[in-house]
Amino acid sequence: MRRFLALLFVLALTATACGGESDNATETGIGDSTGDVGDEADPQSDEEPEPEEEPEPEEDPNPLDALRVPEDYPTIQEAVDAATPGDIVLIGAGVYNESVAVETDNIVIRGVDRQGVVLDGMHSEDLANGIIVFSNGVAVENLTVQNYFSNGVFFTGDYDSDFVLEGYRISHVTALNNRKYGIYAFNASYGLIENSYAAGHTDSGYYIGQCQPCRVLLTDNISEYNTLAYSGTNAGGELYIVNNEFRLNRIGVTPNTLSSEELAPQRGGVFAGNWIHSNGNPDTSKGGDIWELAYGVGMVLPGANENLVLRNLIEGNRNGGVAVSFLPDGDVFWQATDNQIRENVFTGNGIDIVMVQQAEGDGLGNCFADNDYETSRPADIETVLPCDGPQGDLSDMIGIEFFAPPAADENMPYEDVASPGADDQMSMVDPMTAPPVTADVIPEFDTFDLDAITVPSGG
Amino acid sequence: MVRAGIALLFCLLSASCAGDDPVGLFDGRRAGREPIVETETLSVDLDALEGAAIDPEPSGPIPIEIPDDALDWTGRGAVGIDVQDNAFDQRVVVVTAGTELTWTNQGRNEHNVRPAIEGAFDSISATALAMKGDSASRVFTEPGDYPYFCSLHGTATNGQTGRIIVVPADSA
Repeated sequence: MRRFLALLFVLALTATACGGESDNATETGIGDSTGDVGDEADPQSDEEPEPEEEPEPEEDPNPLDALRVPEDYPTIQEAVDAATPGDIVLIGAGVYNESVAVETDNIVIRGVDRQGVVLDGMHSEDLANGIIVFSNGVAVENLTVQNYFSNGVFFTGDYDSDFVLEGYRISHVTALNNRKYGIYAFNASYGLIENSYAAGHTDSGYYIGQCQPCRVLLTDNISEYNTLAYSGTNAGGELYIVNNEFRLNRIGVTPNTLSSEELAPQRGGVFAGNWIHSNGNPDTSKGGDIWELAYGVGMVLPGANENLVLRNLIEGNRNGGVAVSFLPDGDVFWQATDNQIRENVFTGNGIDIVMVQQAEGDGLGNCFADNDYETSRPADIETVLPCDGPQGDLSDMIGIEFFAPPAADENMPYEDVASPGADDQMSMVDPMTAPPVTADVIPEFDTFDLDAITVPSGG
Repeated sequence: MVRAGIALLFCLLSASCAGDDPVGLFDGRRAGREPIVETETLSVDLDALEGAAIDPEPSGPIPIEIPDDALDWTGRGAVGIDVQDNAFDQRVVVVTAGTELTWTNQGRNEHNVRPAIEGAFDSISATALAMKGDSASRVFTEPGDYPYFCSLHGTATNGQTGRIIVVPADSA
């Protein structure tokens, strides 16, 4: 277990060290293996030509002993069905109009080129998910999933038999214009989602639902042009959403509670070191009516509990930076309680911090401390709702209808939503030769070092 | 012989099926990949089940497995199944031929209903169950075993699956 923890932190720290915009770099890694022109012979040289070297042995076309698509199997599904635990399915460049179901534990599904390997659902209900995984320990990496009727990549436990999927990893995946979620984990734990990109979804780019404790790390990802950047219904407990960029969505980050899934209420997430900016983008698809109440807010905690919001840079969000609110859910009003908003930097938001009225004159344990901010409701929020003292006068709290809703024409069919950052995402390094790492070793999060996380520098 | 087979089927259903509670569907703990339900294996002469959806060319009696957690809804004209995110609340139900089943979306996500055996009954599209409160119905007139699934959150054998077992009207 410790081994995989170490791996997680190496991955996370490596990405952090490369800068907050590591995925925005234009290199793909594919070109790195091309020869160096400086090695070519100088035609002006007078030296004797060297004797011809013996020809090098032919390069192994399949050094990973992978199940290759299309060389060995015409479809991804056939390769996946043939795989046994420990195998890697290696997908060649091309467009694949198929929906892949994975029912084998501990395999790796890898594309040879993130932008060049495209699973495309053509918006057909017959191709609901790009990849749906029912098995433990599966990793999906280095490919694009787009235009699926429901979800891009979907890891799911089997709700019917109470099977919680354990162990999953998503790395260097691009999810575009799938109708519901880009990357979706449901009733699944022990996960790592990293270096991925999601745009154009009518719900969230990244969704983690129904897990407690989740034991999930979501790091170094980008989410833009979605209805929600990140959503986590009834998901918490060793849940770390750190060092991501959530930009230009309709609404930003939303840990939340709903009775439509098990394990309510949501509780116990950590949201740290994220750059949450420019949300309130009208060129996105409208999701459910409920989310329109939080249009243009960088982070909203509706019915969320015991979360730590720490050292994020929250800037330029159209209506608000952070809002703590109840969530109306049919006849139920889920209250948000005991959240701590600490050490964040706010700038240029419609209003930086909002505490929505939930209970008459009661802050319900939510507190605010050491933030760099200018505006709040109630005013001077760190004085009236401090983390280390009694609450003050809360008569200035506002209703949930506070934020200005979008205009009727601020809506776009999800198929037409743009994904401006998609082409800039990096492929994984050496996809043809990098040894496969399955997700079968369970990470531990008890030593997660929050002190190492800093406020991102932004643009 | 046919009558005897059906009678046996119904007797065992009456003895083993739960009431309206799905009998620990969501309470049990999973151990490895073992199934969590026990089953009774019944021999039913499919000659009696004219037009049954499960076997295009029956060569003799085949088993129909009735899980212990199946709900006995025989003798009712219409029944309802709640669709949650992401499960059918009443996962296995036994009904009498001619019963109308109505699926109602109680979740936040859209769902659909597709027969695991293509053509066994008419699918219900995600458009019909797009939002909470949406519902759609099918009448099952022919006895047989009708496994189904939501293709958005499962496959014919995994994830969000359900099953309708239809027994002849005169066996109730």
